[in-house]
Amino acid sequence: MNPVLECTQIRHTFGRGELAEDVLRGVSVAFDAGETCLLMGPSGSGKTTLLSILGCLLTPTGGRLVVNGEVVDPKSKNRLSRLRREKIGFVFQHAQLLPVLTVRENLDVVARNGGLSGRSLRLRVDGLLERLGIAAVRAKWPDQLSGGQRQRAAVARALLNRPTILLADEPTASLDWEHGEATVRLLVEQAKQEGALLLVVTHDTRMLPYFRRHLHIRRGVLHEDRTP
Amino acid sequence: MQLVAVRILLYKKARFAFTTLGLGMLFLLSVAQVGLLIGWINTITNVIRHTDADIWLMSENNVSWDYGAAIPRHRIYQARNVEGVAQTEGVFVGWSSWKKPNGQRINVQIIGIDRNLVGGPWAMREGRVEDVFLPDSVIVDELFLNELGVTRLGETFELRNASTAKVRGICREVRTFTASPYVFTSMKNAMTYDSSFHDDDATYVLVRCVPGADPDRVARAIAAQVPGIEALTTRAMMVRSVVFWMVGTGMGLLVLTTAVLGVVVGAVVGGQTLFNITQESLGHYATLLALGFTRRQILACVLWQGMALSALGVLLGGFAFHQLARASASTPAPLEMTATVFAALVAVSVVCSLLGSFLSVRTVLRIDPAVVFRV
Repeated sequence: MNPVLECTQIRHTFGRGELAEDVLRGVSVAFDAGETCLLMGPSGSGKTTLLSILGCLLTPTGGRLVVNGEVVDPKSKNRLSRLRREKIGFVFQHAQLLPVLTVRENLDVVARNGGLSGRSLRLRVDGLLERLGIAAVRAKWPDQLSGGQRQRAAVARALLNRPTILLADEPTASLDWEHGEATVRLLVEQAKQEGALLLVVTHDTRMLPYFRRHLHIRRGVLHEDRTP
Repeated sequence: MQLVAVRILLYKKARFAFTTLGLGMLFLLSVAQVGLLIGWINTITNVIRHTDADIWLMSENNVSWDYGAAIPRHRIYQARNVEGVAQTEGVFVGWSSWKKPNGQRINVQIIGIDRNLVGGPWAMREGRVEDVFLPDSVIVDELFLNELGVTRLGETFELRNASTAKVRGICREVRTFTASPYVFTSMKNAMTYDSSFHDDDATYVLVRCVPGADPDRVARAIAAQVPGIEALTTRAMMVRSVVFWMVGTGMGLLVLTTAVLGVVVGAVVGGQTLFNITQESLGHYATLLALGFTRRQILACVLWQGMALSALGVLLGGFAFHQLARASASTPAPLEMTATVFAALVAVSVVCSLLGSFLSVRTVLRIDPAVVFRV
């Protein structure tokens, strides 16, 4: 099976000259569809930088990135936007729902941008709201939701356009463990249901049992433990 | 994205309301200044336009319609012999003082008209224009009844040299730019009201051309054949009077400067508000970029907000101007507007708003979508 996401010898440096800091030092890794992976590492190890590069948000200083068999050309901003829109779903640490829109509208604008409209949009949005247990709060504003509800809405938004890659950055960091665990279960369950790769960046070792593949990054170098 | 644009704009309702109100007031300031200018120009050229003459003959170096000097009245007949001239008639424009019943005197501008009524009032509320040919008879405008102390037809007033003037008619729409009300009378009466003129004088000779004749060419022919006069087409006469009052006195420049300031300050206020809104929304825009929205979509969102603010300002200011113009229509200094000038003001205002969006556009172009992981 071809990997859904693959990077080869990814390097990234912040700053120039004497201030230059190598954050990633030749990271190579491949992910298959349907995999659940945890990326861990201490602060400043380069995990968020790697996640940004894998999510086509940051152009690496060197190396090669392939998304769904397509070699990523960092110069083509529109292609990067398309890849993010069609192939990648993001869940951020603080959900980052737009506070000016209701839960339903937050999902609607993303779905519409992904090409859905009319009945198909309604079915997809309503289906996800039901599936994630937040149908009752669809008309509420983000600041009227609990942290857990916000993350559920963010997961729904990430899944809207049926991405093949789901990237999550510290999705439980702003939640207590009870809600955090529920969010992790939800992410794993939904990623499996959609057949998408799930890559989660975290500090939280309590998440380890929920993921099949564990990656560690230290000083810009990637190590891997495979759970049988 | 339009939904996002609208919601971001309305997110802080008080800021939105005050910005819209401010932009509306600034647009009103601009349009009112231009409206005032148009009103002044119409007032300055009011009588000239309504004479329906093609050419004006006057003393050389005449600066404005209001300040004509005497020319011999027989220029009327001399001009009549020039090829292309169909009709000529004299008009007298002079000054006098009007004594009100309370003894107060005010300056009035005397317009003496001849038998064909050229240069006379064009809209009567009471009485007939022809009545000015009765001895010591005048027509005054309804706008200045209070100023002149006139309460009804038939009242008699004293003018300069103890001459008397009986009000035989009340006309409408004859405003004056000089603040001295117009008093219409016959040429013969006019000579008694302004003693600086003689019986065989006129201030202007008004010429109507034969159908099909080119007024410019006829004016040049008259100037060549009739001595001691200057011949201007009606349009040139209006331009000269407007230039005298608006440029010569600096008044036009003053109101235009205020109008331009209104547009520029409007652009700055709109641009600054938009910049603040954009700055506050950078996180949201970064999220949208990360979710696959293009930079072009975000730019369209910001520019749409700029246009919406500008359009609301124009609507609010335009409505306020409409109300002001209606209220001022029956005053000596009306605010007036033409569709073309209004459209031009709207266009300038919108262009300035777009220029004011420049900083916001630059900010959007620099958003790094990767910040979503650093929040």
